Amino acid sequence: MIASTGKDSAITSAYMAQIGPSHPALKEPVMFTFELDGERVVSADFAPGMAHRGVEWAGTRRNAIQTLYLAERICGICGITHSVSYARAIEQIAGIEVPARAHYIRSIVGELERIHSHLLWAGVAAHELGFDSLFFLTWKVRERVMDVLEYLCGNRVHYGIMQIGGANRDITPDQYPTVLEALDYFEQHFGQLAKLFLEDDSIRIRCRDCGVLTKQEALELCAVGPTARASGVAKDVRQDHPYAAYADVEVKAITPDQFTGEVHGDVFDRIIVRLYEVKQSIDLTRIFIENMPPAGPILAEEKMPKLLALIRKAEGEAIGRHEAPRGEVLHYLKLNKNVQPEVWKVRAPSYNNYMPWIPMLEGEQIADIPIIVASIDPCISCCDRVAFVRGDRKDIVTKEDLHRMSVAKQRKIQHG
Amino acid sequence: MKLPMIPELLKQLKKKPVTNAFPAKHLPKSLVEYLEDVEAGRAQINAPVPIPPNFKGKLKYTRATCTGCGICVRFCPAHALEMIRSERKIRVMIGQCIGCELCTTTCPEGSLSKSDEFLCADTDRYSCDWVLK
Amino acid sequence: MGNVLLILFGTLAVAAFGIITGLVFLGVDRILVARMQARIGPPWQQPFFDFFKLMSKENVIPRNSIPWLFNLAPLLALASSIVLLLYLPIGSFPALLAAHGDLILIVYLLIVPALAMVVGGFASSSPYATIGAQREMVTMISYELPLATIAVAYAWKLGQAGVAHPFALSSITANPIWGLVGPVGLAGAVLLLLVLIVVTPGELSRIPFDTPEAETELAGGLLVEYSGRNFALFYLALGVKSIVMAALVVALFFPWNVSDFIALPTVAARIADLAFWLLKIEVVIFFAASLIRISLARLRINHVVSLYWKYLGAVGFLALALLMIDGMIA
Repeated sequence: MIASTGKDSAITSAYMAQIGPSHPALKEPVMFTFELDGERVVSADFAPGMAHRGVEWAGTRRNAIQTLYLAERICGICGITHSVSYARAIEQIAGIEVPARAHYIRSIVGELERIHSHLLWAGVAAHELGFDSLFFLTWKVRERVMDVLEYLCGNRVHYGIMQIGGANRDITPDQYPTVLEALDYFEQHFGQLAKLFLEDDSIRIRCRDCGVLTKQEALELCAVGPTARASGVAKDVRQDHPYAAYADVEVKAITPDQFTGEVHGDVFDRIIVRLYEVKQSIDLTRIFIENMPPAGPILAEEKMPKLLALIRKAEGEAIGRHEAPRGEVLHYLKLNKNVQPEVWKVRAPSYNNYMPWIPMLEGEQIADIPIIVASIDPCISCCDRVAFVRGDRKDIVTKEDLHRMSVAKQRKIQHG
Repeated sequence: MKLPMIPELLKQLKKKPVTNAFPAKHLPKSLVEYLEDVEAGRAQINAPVPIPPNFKGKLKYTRATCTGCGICVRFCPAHALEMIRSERKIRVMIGQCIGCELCTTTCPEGSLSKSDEFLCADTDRYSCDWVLK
Repeated sequence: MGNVLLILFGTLAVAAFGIITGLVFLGVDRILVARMQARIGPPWQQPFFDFFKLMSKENVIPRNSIPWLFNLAPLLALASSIVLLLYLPIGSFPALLAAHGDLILIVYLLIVPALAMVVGGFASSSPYATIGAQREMVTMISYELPLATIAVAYAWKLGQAGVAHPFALSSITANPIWGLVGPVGLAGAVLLLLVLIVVTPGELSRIPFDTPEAETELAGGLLVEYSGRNFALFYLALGVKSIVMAALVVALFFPWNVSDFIALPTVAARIADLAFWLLKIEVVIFFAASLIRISLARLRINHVVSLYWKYLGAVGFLALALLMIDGMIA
């Protein structure tokens, strides 16, 4: 566990310490190696890849409709996100027109999922700070979101409501009151949570100016989602490239300067952004329910064998995007007149948000490591799908190697 | 120094906990006796949390109406359904089912349906509860 | 000879009493904390179950550790916590060793359980435990100053009031500070109580001052390598230490007994006093440990140091100054 830093160990007081792959601060396996000087982090490095399951490989070996459910299982929290972006990719290739009502269903469930994910994150962040009362309070509210999702979808996790060309289940008018009632409950508790998170001085002294990511760094490292927005980068797929029902409403990316007048890019700003996104999602869900199109079809093709036949005829490639609670999800898909997808590549938001960890962590204290790591809301299992290529037993891949590998893969994609 | 949590916590001290209670406070010596006591009104039981309508619970298979067309087997994402070719019927492995509802919606005869049951735990993965035929 | 026997049996009785009440109050603390967090919580006997479970577990000693030191630390922590209890009055029973020590000794002895944990942390040779032990040392040093100001302020006030042996705990309990001071001194005394209340969670390594253990940062810090019997002993020490800290607050600030106000037969008076003392202990633990530990986020070690040294030190000196001004006015 503890090792000297090599030849200079007699001179420098720095020492190496590992956190992970399994550690109480980490909810999923990832390994950090820190060079520490007393309580201060001199340099940080991380090694993901501990939760690899080969999802994409499995996805190209079953038919496209089965793969939709596999896509949902990439992540436990953002099931809707992955299934919608996968479905959107297929719909683009096969030219399937999604009915208007299905667009609204997708948006409503997606926003409820965002409320769920952000509340879950807020609880975890409170726990990392040693503030367990807030953790219990937040998860009490989260329980209600799960109840609503269970009421709408039939499942508490992995909702299974999305389908290629629409949605599996309708949200009927007799279900609106329950959802609206729950939204009122969230609104009520949002005020309480905002007060407890943003006015509490013990949270403020821990999070203010801790784990700073400047706007410049956020842009250079391609951070996405709340991590980028907290650094002042106003980017949101729902605002920039509206999909589903978002084109009918005005969605504005939430940045901390809208509430505090300044952007720090620290952990506290990430808390502000996530909390106010909960509020935004509550409002959006209410708008969607009020403006739901009249009852009609919710699936472009209700018979699954016909849908599969449609996919079998399709050829081409497409990218499906979705604003996940953690940022932009990207599904690249290639169909080649077959029931199975030819190529399937998923880029989860946490993949972009990994790199900002390093500028955030350097120079901070050991005590801040858990909250900084948690502050990007890392979803390790979202990212760890691809096996690390170790053909010639090389553990470190240089930039040239990576470039060569990417060119080779690109060729394979282009020429089949 | 502002600590808004303290009044919230003191307020909560007077309120009831939100945790869902266990059916009985402690594990009774004999479950059967306890249930008999409950029926006779001698003991209290905490009602389970209600299940919402259209809950995706354990699958139900009606063998008589199944025509063995195999659509469900083709689409099941978890390979939980198996074709028994000699009988033109299917076999359902509950342990593998992920509750996606695809089979119940695709079945042309309505032979597969979902129930409210969700307590499927078993020690034997081939028990009659887990493999529907 | 009779005196030695009395001390011997008295020590055993106090040890048993301290351990049992310590565990009971840990259980009560867990129930109250659970209720404040909208949970049901464990039964009050849970710490006893935990203790017996831990005793039945394997006692793992890390290969790189210094075994004798590693095993000695928990014993030292428990023993020193019990010794502390011998110097504090319980109910209307005077302290068993009242004749052999005073407030200064108690302030010194309070370091020993913390020091035992530091020794155990270093002896276990885990990097997490080493960081935890360093933090514990820093915390220990920082809460010494406010603690010392309390002792000095008390002794000064009692000395000025003309009480013999101002540092002896018996004279402190016999002359509650509230009766000796005027309005300005009252403010000073309230500030002293505040200082002691804030030092208590630091002494007990509870959130927000649990940086040495910090579950989410150091995975248990200086206790990370402890398991089985050794961990159970630390657990007992925590229980006894909670009682000790609360008993210190009670002895310094709330020394009244039921029998002082109502005339009761001797045995009944003793029992009533003990019950009242336990109630006072519970109230102090509730405010100084249970409520604080769930209503704040964990502080960073530099926050802990600046809070104790700068702010609480300043408050302590302010209280001392107020008491002095009060003395001058009077």
